Amino acid sequence: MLDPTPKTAKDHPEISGGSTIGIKYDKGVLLAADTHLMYAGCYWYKDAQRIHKVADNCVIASSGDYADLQMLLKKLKDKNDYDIIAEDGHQHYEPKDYCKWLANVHFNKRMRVDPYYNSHIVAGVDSKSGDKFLGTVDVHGNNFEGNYVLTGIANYFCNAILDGNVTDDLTLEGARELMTKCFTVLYYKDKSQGDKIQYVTIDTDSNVNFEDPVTLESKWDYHFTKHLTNDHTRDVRFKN
Amino acid sequence: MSKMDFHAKLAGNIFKIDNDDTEKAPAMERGFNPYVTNEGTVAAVAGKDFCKVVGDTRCSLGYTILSRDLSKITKLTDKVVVATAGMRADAIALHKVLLTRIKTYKAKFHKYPDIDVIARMLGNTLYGRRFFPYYTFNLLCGINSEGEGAIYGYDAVGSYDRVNCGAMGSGSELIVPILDNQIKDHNVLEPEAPSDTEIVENVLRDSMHAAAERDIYTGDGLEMFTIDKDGIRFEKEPLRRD
Amino acid sequence: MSGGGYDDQFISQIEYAQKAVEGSSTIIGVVCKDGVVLATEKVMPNKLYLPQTDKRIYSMSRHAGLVANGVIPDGRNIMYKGRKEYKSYGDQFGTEITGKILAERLAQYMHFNTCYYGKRPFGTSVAVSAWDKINGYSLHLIEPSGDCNQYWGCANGRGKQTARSELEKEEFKETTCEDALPKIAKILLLSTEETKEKARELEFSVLSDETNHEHKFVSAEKTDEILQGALKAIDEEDMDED
Repeated sequence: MLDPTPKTAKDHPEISGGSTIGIKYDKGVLLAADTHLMYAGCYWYKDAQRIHKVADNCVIASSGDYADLQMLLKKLKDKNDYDIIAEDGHQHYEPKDYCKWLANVHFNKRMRVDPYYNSHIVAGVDSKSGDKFLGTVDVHGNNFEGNYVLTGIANYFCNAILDGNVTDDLTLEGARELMTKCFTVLYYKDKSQGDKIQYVTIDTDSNVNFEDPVTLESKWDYHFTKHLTNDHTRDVRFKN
Repeated sequence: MSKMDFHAKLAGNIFKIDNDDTEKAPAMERGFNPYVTNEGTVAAVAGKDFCKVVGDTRCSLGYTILSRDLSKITKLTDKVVVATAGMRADAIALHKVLLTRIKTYKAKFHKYPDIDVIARMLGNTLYGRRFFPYYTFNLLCGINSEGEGAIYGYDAVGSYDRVNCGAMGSGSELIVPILDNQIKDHNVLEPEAPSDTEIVENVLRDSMHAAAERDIYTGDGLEMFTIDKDGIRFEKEPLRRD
Repeated sequence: MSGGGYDDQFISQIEYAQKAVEGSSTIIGVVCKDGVVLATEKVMPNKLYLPQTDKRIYSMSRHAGLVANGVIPDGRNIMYKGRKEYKSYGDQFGTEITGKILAERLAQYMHFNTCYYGKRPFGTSVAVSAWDKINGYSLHLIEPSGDCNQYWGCANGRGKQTARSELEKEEFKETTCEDALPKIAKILLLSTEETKEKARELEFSVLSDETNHEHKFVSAEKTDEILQGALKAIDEEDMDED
């Protein structure tokens, strides 16, 4: 006899992260994400790590449900560990393989109508050929590569900034400048975007560099925000 | 509601099937929708001894472009390619299944399957997911065992037919009339398959450029595959990027 | 008692298993100042064997290794059990299993196999090297009976008597793993003098501060170098004695 109660699955993300962006520059890949996690429209954690190293030459940045991400990271770690301890002379997994694997896991879960609510950016450097890799995976298992890739609402705000500006001879400084521009725009327009951004670079020598989060510069004290929209607020009584 | 019913309902919603027997859908859509469409266009024309297939390379999601360079066409054998519009994740999965099954066929029979064999197999593969369909619209193109150009067109659940030209995807409404007019020879008693590759190529190229003018989901790049007795050739050119 | 039962407080099946171990390769485990070394020696039973085949040292996790002798497939089975235990412990408690618990669980598993009519004891003894955050480095030796003890130097197999007395002479606690390797090679060779006419191969693994607490095999080239060095050292000593 079949179970008459329908199978239930999580139908929306709970604690989740916002947009992430990845850009290829001349000597590597730059990834960035904010450090905020949201729950029900509130900032829930303000210094969360959203970019993770999954192998010596591979990093992933993820938007969406943080619990699902932690589950995936655990699976990825097991995969990497088994790859290493087998010592069978077999090629270790490359960033491309991790990307494909994530896509397959996501597709498999969406087929069960119980998806992992994440979209990932997978970045890295092929350990054999030294080629840069930058790819993305979404909830449905769709995946592709690109010179720059976006997840979350950055897809709507940042395409216009990056398209045409991400060229083969883009320097790290240039990439960082573009990235900062993207996150500034996101910070102004997307309420779920935090202002603490963490940059991670992975260069063609497979050096992974996790930088400390930096705070975005933003300007809010325009005349209309100060005087027109807040006419009826009370003055701040405590200042530090 | 069993899982099967659930999928059937989802499929019903997607394909606008009015099914009064199932429960009424809630007023507001909740939960996870396993389907998205990434749109895009593919078209093909079968000639006397060749077949030409074109596809754009844009991958959209709603009003945003996810990628400007994502191929819709996969080579299956030396004589057959499959061109797929619709949902990318499903298409990737479908192409993977097709390649695996062709590999199995090769291992069993020591030859690659002919296009009519692949055509039935693709039909069965799609129908196998009748109650949770692959959200894909396929054109199977190549040359058959006689060396003639052959195209098979499909709907999402596997009903198929051999045609002499076809278009699938978001720009198909714009391309089908052109092909009808230029290729199909509706008003001729004995239609003849075109033998001039250049004319066919130009008709397909013009059609895709025309579709890219009006259809926002078509653009960025154009891939053209030519299949004839010498094998498969592949060219790429830019399309409108706006 | 009928069947393979108790006989003067011995379980004959376990005795047989121990016999299998006693006649096989010597295994050695040593705790040094900065880590743990596992080592074993084997006589190449067949000239057709490729070098480096038939390995007896395995990783159970990135921080735990194992060397087995006796019935090698039994040893591999223990290794796979160790990998499972490592993973399930990590999944349940969110922290990596300690060397002591890992070894004890493996011992429990081996003991379990001595308890039932339908099972047989493992014909292998294993030395487990491990590192964990709580206890640091550890070395355990498990016998076919399921007997498990922690050591700073342990040996088993055909050369265990010689090896143990040689290990006692050395001050490994004051030596680094790197410096200990040639000494261990010498002990291995001395303990198996009766096989010195045959082609032999050594195997080492190091789990030390230098390897970042990870269990790493010593490369074939370096092992060969150590072997040649040890052979030379023994020869020189013999000359001196003469």
